[in-house]
Amino acid sequence: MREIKEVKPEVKPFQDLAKWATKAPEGEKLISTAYGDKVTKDLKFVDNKPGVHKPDPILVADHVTRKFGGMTAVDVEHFEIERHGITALIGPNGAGKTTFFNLMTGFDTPNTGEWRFDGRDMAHMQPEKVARMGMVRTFQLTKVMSRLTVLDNMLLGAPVQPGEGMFRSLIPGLWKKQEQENVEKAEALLERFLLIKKKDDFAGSLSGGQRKLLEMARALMRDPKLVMLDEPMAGVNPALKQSLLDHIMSLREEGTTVLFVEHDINMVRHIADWVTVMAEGKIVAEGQPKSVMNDPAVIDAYLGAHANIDLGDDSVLDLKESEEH
Amino acid sequence: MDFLTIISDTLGELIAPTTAAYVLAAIGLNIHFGMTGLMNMGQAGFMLLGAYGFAVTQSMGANLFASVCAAIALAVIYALLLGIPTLKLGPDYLAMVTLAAAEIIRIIGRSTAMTKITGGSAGISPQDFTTQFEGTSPLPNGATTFLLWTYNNNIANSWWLRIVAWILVAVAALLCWRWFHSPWGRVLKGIREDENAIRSLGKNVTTYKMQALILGGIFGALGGIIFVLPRSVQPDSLGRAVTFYTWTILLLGGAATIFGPILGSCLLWVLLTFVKEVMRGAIPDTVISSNQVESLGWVIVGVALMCLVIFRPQGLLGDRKELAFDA
Amino acid sequence: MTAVTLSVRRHRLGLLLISAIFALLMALCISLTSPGRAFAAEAVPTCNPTATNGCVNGILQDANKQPIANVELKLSGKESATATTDAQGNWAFSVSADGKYTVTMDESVAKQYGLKAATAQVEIEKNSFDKARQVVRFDKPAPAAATSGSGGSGASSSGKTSTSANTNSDAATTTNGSAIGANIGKRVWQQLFSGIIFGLMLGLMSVGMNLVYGTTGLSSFSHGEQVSLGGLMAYVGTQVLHWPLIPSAIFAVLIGALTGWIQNEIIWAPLRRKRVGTMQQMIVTIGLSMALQYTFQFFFGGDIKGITKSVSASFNIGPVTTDAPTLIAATIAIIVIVGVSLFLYRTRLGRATRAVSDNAALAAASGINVEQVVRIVWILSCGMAALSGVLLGIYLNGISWNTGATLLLLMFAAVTLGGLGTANGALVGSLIIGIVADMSSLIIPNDMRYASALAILIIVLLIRPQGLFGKQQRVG
Repeated sequence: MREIKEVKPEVKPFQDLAKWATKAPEGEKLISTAYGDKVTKDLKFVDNKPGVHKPDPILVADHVTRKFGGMTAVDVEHFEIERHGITALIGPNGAGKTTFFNLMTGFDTPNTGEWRFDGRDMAHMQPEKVARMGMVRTFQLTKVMSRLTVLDNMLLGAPVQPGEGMFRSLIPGLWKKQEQENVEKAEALLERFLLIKKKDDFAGSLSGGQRKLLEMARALMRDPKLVMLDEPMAGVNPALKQSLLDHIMSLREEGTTVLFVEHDINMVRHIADWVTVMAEGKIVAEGQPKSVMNDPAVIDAYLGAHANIDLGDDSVLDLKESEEH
Repeated sequence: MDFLTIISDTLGELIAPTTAAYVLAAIGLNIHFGMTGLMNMGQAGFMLLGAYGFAVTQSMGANLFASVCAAIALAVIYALLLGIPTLKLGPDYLAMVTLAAAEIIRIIGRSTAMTKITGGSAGISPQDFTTQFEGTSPLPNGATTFLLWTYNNNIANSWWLRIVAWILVAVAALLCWRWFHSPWGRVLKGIREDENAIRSLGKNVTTYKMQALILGGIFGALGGIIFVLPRSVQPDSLGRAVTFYTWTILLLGGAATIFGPILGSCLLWVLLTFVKEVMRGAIPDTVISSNQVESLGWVIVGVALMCLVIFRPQGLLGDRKELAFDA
Repeated sequence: MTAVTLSVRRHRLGLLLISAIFALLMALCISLTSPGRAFAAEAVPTCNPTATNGCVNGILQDANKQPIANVELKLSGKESATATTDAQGNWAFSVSADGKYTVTMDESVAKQYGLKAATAQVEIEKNSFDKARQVVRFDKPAPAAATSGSGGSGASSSGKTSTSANTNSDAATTTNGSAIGANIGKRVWQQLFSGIIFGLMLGLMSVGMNLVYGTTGLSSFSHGEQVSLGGLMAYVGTQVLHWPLIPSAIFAVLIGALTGWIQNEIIWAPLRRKRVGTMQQMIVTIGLSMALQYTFQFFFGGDIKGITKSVSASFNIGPVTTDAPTLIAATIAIIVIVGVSLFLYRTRLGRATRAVSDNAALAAASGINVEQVVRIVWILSCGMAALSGVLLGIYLNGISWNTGATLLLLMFAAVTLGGLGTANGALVGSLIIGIVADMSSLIIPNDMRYASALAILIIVLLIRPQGLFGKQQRVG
């Protein structure tokens, strides 16, 4: 699917990349896909089977299980996420995807298992520590701070904040400068996510899709190494969906690794470098999007009776691409 | 009872030390609930501990500064003890534990086993702990009349106590204003809205909640000291009802606002005193006795609290919009 | 905008209505005014009568003239105060008004030390040499025929006296001659027994409270007042309307259930429709609790009201001394609790209730009328609370305006201990709390025994926050 490729020599500041992903600036037809290409190349030689080893994993999980009462929600033998790649985690409802997210980010404690992020042991780590290590997540049910402004929501995501100490906060001189820098960064991100006009509104007044965007933008305030998006497209209107897709692609080109949960197979097929399928808590298939979609295990577990129907509706994207050519 | 007395009594509540004590307690509760969303149902526990910490050390002969520090230290320790087990749990749990813990403090404080330290249910009488405070007064002895009000300068329910209490209130309000508009306050408000989101952004939520619990508790303890200075330390006068009064005050003025606690406390006490005095004056004792008027006052507070939460949850000063969204 | 204002008006009207109904109810039933609490009386270490004050004092001793320390005594009547006995059993009140006073101690304490009465009445006259000081003893069964209408009298004095053979001691008598301290084992059994009885009463209250929590997510602070209401209504039935006990009890339960229904219709259902958060609703229950509690005080005064006047003979079962009303009350409590469990597990409606507790949205989606279930839960819960109030009033020989409020925390403790929202958990939690509260008085001073139950609550939260029967839930 990746036809529009030509490496652009100098990497521009991230603000521009969002625009790049949809439409090249005037006079240029190029999009930087340096990281994307590298990942594609690396993953080409990886076997399409569950629990396979990858060339350059950023997250490695082993024997992770979580039981609720008698039910095993998650039972992952081995799982790796390729650095700089976009990995999609798919599976039917109740497959344990969100629970797996919770386990990886410290929001839940597994019964057994260990996992390493960037070589560091993450078991028993508090969620806030996980985030500080550079692994930031969003939530399936969007969590925005309704009664804070959009800008305040963004600022909460900023990592360096001297004013967040109880005593230091009393002396504005100690934190005003840093605050200003954070505001600039937040505004740049809001601009990119088309929320700049809303920056002084309460986050509670945003629409569902805008909240998803805000949550994602807020996660990026920290410049995470790995961003984990739980159903970023759920409830987002189709017009916004395309720009959200572009944001995710551009994240990769800034060097951020992306893991996302999604039900929209079409979207997965378009942007994912690697697809992992979960069912009943286990990883049942892994591989490049195209091959996974044809895997009988996936069809059985996930697509079920609808296997013969073309779930992916490529017409929108195809149309767009053909226009550009 | 003539009308002028009613008016001067009623307006006297405006500057009364008890009103200021409730302001301080409500400012503490505002940090807990208004800023951080912690359901502290035991603010009276902090107040009682503060009162004990101050009065007991005073009666043992410690100096004034050390006594205030002791009160604060007790509040800090108490907050830590409460916070460590409960802050990781849901809001219901904190509400019940603070309520229970405040009751435990009162039960222990008033028990005979503690008579040597706390005076049991009889409490600690004023001459044992107020002399040093009264001694610090720069005012001359005697009484002063200012506008409608005449009070002793230094002793018991005095002008000196009023001055100190309201200066304390001013300082507390100033600090709160600073905190509300700082990144620290922003994190607390974020926790109020959604603590898991804040956690996912790399903030140590438990630490922030603990800071808020301690800070609000300290204001509660200071409120407790001011509360007992014009009277005696009576464990039963700082029971559950005081907590509920404080909640009414906070919600009346408006949670998450700077001046809400001040306005709420002044308004509640002025109105309540006015209603009670008028009832006492207007209705003959044979129809409704003085004690029943007291009960009626409580009924009014209860109904007011219900109506406030139902019809004007933002209080008098709060922003309607801020409460418009259901999280 | 008009719609909003309209609905607001309706709620306001509703509130007025409920206050009016409560007021009317009580005004109808009660035509007495009684002095409430006053503040002039105070507990003092020693008291000497002067021109301005009189003294009510005494030394609390058991049959062997051993002092009983740490017992709380309540003074009511013209003025009111609370005192606690010191290590020598001494206690004293200084009072400023002439008139009749009643001194009351906790019924369970009187039982424990085998005192003949928990209540005594004296009259103070400051100017009279022999009436300025009154020494109070608890060795006589208090006047059983206390007139019901006169507030401030020791109406609670039906006296759980024992058919003791040992009546010659002058300060107090012990039950069946067992000297306190001489028979620790017996005391353990006695305390265990009273703990279980207390736990059953508490269970009756907290099962209902937990049902409300399970179905609506609301921790109701006004549940204690529902208990007081039940007891006070039974008092109205027996002592004001002069009905027999059983119709009075039924009357009380019906009134309780009715208030449950009314408050759900007028307050809680509209609040749920407005999607007011449960935390806000909880604060509304605090307001309601305050309003109700002091409405009771307004009408019934500050003293203890006895439901029954008869003195029933006590007898022994093994090492435990008890009497018929206690056993009957316990039996009724067990029957009702079993009945409620059967209702929850065997009937269609009961299963619907549990489904709503489990997941209200899912239950609604599968065709269960959630509002209907919640309404029934409110009626059931308040009816049970009223019943427990009646039983408690019979067991403890009286009920006062704040009996429920003092028990509220123990209910919370029981509910949290069992696991919020689990019906059976509340019962087990109640039994544990009841037993711990009563047994702990063997070790720590009696006036601290509720503290131990609350301490248990905090410890449990530390170790197993979801309670004994609760389930863990997924975050996010």
